[in-house]
Amino acid sequence: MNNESYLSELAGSLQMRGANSARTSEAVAEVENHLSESGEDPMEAFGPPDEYAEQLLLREERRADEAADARWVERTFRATAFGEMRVLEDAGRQGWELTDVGYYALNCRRPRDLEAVRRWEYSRRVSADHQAVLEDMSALGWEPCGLWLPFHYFKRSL
Amino acid sequence: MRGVLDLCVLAALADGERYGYDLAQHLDRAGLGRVKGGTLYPLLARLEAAGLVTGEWRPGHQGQGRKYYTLTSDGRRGLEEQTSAWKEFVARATTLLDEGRGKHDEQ
Repeated sequence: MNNESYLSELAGSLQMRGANSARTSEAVAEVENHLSESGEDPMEAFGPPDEYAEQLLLREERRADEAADARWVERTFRATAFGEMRVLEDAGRQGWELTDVGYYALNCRRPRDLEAVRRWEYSRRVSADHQAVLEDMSALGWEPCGLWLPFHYFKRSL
Repeated sequence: MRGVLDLCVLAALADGERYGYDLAQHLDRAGLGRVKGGTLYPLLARLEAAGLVTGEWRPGHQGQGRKYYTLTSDGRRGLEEQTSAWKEFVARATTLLDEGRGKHDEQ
């Protein structure tokens, strides 16, 4: 992977994890500087962009939540309606529980205590009849976790 | 040994600010080996979030912006405390290792 495509993948990975544009551009610029000065290969020096983004943000989030003595680490994933189910599938497998849905935003949380982390699966239904979807899905063990009409989001612990 | 790397980074900043790659080279020259960017920057981000260092972006010599890290007063205090804790640990381990070697020599 050349530097340019590495950096753009890294930017995408950071944004998807809810990093704001200031944090994203800062992190990308720092990697870019390091690469141009050291001449190192990006994969060699930083590892896969997705993993690097995860490592960078998780440490900051955990640290911030430790300071606040919170039970949960919170993260807002950014995705459009087209890619969000894939994002949710990955996030759920890593223990992120969807708590609310907003504008291009999937608000998730995960216990700070890694022993208490559960894995989640997600389903999205499209309907104008909220009550009917709720009844359907509840019967199958799904719990509602977000509503952004016409999308209804459901979660189920794996 | 991750905690020790934190400590070495704080120590490397004790005599003044440095940017990421400068730090990596400094640690390498000190004989600690090449610390990968994938290890170094998340560590710096964590130290910054913990308030032990602060980072400031300034233009470097070729117009490229660089983030310079400086120890905060909390960082300086942390460095002093952890350095004495680390030295005490090394002294105990050395005693233990020497005792082990003494017994080995007796046999």
